[in-house]
Amino acid sequence: MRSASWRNPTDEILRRRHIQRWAAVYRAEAPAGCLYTIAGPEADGDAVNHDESIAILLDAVAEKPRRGRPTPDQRRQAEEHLSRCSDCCRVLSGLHERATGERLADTDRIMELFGCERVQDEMHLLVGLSPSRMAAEHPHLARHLGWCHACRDRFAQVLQVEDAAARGEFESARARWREAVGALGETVRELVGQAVVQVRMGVAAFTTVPEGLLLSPALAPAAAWRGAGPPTEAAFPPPLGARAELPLGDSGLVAEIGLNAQGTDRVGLEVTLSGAAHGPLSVSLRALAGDRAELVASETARVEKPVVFRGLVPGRYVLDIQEKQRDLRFRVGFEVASPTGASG
Amino acid sequence: MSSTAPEEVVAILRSASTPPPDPRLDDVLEAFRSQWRRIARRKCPGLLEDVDDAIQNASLKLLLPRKLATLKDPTRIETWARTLFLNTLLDLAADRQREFSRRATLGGPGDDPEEFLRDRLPSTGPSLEEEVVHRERARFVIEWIKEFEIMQLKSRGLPDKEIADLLGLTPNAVRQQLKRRREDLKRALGKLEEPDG
Repeated sequence: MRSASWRNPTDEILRRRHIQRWAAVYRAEAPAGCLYTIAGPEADGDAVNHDESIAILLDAVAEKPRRGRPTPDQRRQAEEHLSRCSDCCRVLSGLHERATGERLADTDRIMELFGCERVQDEMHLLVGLSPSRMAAEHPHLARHLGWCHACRDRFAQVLQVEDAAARGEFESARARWREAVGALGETVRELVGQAVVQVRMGVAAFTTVPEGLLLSPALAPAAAWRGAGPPTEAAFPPPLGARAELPLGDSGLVAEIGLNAQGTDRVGLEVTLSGAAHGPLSVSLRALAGDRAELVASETARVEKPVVFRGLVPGRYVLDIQEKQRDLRFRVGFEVASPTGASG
Repeated sequence: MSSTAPEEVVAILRSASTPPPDPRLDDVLEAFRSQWRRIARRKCPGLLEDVDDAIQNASLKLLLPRKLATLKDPTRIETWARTLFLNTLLDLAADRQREFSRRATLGGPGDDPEEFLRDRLPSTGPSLEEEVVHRERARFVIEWIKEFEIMQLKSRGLPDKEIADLLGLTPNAVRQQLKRRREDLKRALGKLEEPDG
């Protein structure tokens, strides 16, 4: 078996890049929703990537293999790949467990033999080091990354994240507020920018947020993603999240805004304030119609006690949060967009 | 978090396992979580609710004394925590079969990990000991794959002879493998039935 021969890293890189490109083309041709793809006879036959290895092994046992039974050479390549890839062993083990309800014997032993957990725990030590320093200061990590497909991929991900972190891309963007005058002449701090929310496939989510609104991911009901998928949604911006936090300036208060879908186009809004309140709080919602702002509802709020506004139809709104004791007023503008994308 | 010295951040995290915890613990955790959310949003917007699970799992790991012990240089706490989160996220994605195209999902279609690693990793060969371990691992993996195939084909109701033909084995080898598996199961069940087991 070729597994004992250690390839020249440059050749390996070129070979894997070639196959990845081929695999990407093939993946694009695979029918939507198919479980896996497999290398066909047109593959370059010299090495296989993660997807192909798993596909080859599945086709060896499938009742109706998608591309026929793998050749002995394909099987050898898949075995070789798995002997250097703990990720693929984990995937194969998970598939087996789901299919039969039983865990493959020796899975834990194999994971131990890979030794990836320790390497992944220590990967951060390599960040910022030159290749020669890596080899000198952390030889066991460097050698492991020389052969382990799973850890090489992870290390590439780590480096990408660290490069982005060094550029400050994960620093928290602070909300920008501007001072405005309210209807009674009071000073109001308005969040610069406007959020947009929309109901799509039974899920309400933010599709646009101003700086400083920190999002949590959207929850998708299982039913929403079954079937043929949402091709008609392609023109819309992707849903960003169903909950968002907004630190209210330097007041020490944070507003958490949660969304839920009500029917096909209406949105329920839940506002929860947290932090150090100095006195009674109130939350009110107004609908904007031309120059007029009509009160939808206003409620006294307590810290950690959600205030709920239901059945918001497509249109523009402002949410006002007030703490009387310190004379604080914050205003957040948002739009409920129509599910069809038409302006509300 | 940026205003707190890295060593202090580590001490705050360590305080979680030696009550009472440092009063700043919640703030420190939230600072990490908030950064992780941004990383997840950027790296894998398709993971949706799994991101919350990954953040929760990573938060638990962050406070584990065993994990904290792997942090050899406290000044690298932020990098360490980001790596810990990324590994958690990738494990979760793999466990939940978030497609097999992990590179495409997590790295973006234009990101080739091998290309990215070029010039950034040393060309280091294995030590003799590692070659031995590799051979042992390869042997184990091949046996393990064989077991996977036999068990899968058996679960489809195929006779031993047909399984053997499909896998290029003798019927006797298939029977041996199945027998070994039955014995493993018996042992496992026996352990479960032991009163103190």
